[in-house]
Amino acid sequence: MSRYPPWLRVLFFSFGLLLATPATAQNEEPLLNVFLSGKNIEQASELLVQAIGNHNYTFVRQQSIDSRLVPAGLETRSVRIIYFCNFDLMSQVLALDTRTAEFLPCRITLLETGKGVALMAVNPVWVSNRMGNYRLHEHCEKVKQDYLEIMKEAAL
Amino acid sequence: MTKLACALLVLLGGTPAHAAPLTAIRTMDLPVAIDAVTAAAQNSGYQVVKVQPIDQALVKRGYPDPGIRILFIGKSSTMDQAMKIDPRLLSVLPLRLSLIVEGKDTLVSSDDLEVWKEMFPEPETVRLIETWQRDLKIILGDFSGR
Repeated sequence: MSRYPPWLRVLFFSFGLLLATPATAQNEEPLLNVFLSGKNIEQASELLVQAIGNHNYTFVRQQSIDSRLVPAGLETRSVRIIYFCNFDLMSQVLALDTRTAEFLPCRITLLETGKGVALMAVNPVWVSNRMGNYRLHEHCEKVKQDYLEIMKEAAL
Repeated sequence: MTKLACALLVLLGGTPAHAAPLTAIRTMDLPVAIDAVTAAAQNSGYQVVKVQPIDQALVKRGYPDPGIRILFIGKSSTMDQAMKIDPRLLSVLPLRLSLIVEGKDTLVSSDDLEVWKEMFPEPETVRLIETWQRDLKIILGDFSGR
């Protein structure tokens, strides 16, 4: 039998979880960014879809950012979203914490500029850090690295 | 001992705030909840862009049913405003609502936009995010019957 009251044991446990949070947790940027210089949005989308497949993710769909919000044919051509996922990983993180639905499925936003295409994705480690569930960290770190590798491969 | 406990409480209290998304819950099954959220979004001038059936996609592949669907909602002016004010915000559009089955209830939860205000504190950006937060709060209030 512990000599400490239950409320204090809960407090000790919480403090232990806090200490177990990786030191890098507070240094994460909210967005992951890669720029595809000299490409248009069609070329960038094609390269990205190819890279997604190469990294064991399933392409889900792509759409203009205002798809279904404006009449068909009048959608913005310069901003597109590509959705993809790894079902195994998705099942694992949802089993750990349903709040991970906040960054599922994976999505990358493409923004065409005069010099190329900017790729942006919300950093899953940044999101999971805010959730305060240390068990998510390993998975979210993997998804973050996958995002970066996919975007960098598309930019090669 | 009390002093030690107080010190731990202070340490825990001093850590960054954790996620605080907007949520609402109602006793209804998932398909009915989807209809109710869709109607609530339309009442606020939003359209459902896509219902992402994460539950069906996983079950079809042999995984356990997480009881979750995602609704993406938007309106064309939202995209125009983000483009004009701060294109980084395009990465959170269309706005997302998670519907999670909890027994006989369905919980609806928005993305946590509060943290974006901390990361992008420019006044115009914050005002835009607050507009979205206000809209989401009205939609979830409408859904829950408040």
